[in-house]
Amino acid sequence: MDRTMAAEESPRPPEAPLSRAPELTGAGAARNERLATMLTDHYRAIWRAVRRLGVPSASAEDAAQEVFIIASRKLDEIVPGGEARFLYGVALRVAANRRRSSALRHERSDEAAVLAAASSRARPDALLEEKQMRELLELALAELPEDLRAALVLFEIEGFSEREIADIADIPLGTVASRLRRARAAFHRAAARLRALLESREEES
Amino acid sequence: MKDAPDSGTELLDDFDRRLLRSTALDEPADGALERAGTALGLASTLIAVQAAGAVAAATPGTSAKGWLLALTWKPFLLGAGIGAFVALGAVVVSHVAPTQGVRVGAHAPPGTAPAEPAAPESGLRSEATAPARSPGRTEVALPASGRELGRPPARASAEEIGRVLPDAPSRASTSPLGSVAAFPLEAPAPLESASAGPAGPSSIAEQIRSVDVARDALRSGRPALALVELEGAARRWPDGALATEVRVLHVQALLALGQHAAAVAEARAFLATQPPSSYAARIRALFSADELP
Repeated sequence: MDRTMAAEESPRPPEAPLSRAPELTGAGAARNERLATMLTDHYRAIWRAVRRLGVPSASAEDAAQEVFIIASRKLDEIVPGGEARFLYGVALRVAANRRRSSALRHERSDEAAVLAAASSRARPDALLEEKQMRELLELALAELPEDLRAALVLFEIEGFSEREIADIADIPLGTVASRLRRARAAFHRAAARLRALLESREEES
Repeated sequence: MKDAPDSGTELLDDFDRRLLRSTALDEPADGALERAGTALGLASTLIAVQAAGAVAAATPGTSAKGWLLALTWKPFLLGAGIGAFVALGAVVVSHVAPTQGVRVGAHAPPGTAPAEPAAPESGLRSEATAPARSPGRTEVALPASGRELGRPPARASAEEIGRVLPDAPSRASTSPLGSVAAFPLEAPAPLESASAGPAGPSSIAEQIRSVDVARDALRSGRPALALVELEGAARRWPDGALATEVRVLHVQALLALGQHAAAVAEARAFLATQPPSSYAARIRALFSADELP
């Protein structure tokens, strides 16, 4: 859907003959160059962010793509140097929309399966495999309200400052600080609960 | 930077932080970035920008725009694909965008013998990847960083470069990746800390980025760039959450550079100190059975 729409924005036909290459120097070329640079620099981070913000893995690629398509339409509004903050701001909204419309409940229902898989692992170094840790992370994050989850992800995972988060999420700085405090507490509770469940399973087995 | 006291930080314990760090190795499917580029009508520009990101700043003054134009068009007009970039020379200069800063590297086509100089000496580091937290400051992007970041490319102020790479200029001049362009520096702004330390929450994101850069470099046939990034990461976060991943990637980078003996030695050292794990399995998969104990 969006893919074809965006493709039409290409300012030049692929079959352009050799001699016509120089027309690339126009505003369209600069625009494409900027977009491609944004994509190269931020795509993976945005993909990861939408995942951590609750978009299921099956639709994360679509969501990340949607973020950049929105950015391409608003490219003129993005100040140079502000690309990351803009993209994360869009990612917050895209992820929120998708979370509302889709699989939050489904994701959470996987808890038993995740715990079963994690506790059945042989753990020679007493460390869970990264993938299992990530699944537990999903479960823990899923217990947070959306606004707290966003604050935690942006600060603790993405490394943004509180001021930058205020800018990204368009909320007052004091609100960021208070959300972060609550988010950490909620995340800690969720993680502790999961850990306790995991440990009780291991004792059983 | 974290601009308010982290009164709630202590609420997160080690397990919580391990959970948070586990996001590091989560990746989109292969080709996702390219598919997004296609969706945006950017297929050719994207490849050009990616190639340009891999080139050196060895010859300041070259018409960067010209290179990008050439990179953008030639392969497609000639129907040659990525391989055509090789014909453009291993080292070109490109200005990609104002936010990109200077990048250093060499480009070689995937799957071929590296068209790069020998591996950097172990003393070489590109560890000045500590992201500054002050958007809008005029900064310099350092080599081997700034790709796929959660923010504009990693930058460092003059002060930071001095602190992290006290002998950066002399090292840079001997870099196998080509010389690092002069840093057009400005008065340094206060930095959060270039030594966030292995356990600092902000270092998680930095470690993720560093591993991302290295993996991208490996994947796109730039093992020397990967090696520099990985050695920087190993030194900055010797006990970091991703230290094991860094070691595995380092072995891969050595192999990709053709330094087989060094790769075997490192693999053996790894296996001698690590318990059986998926990491050990990845290491073993890189070698034939008789090469490893």
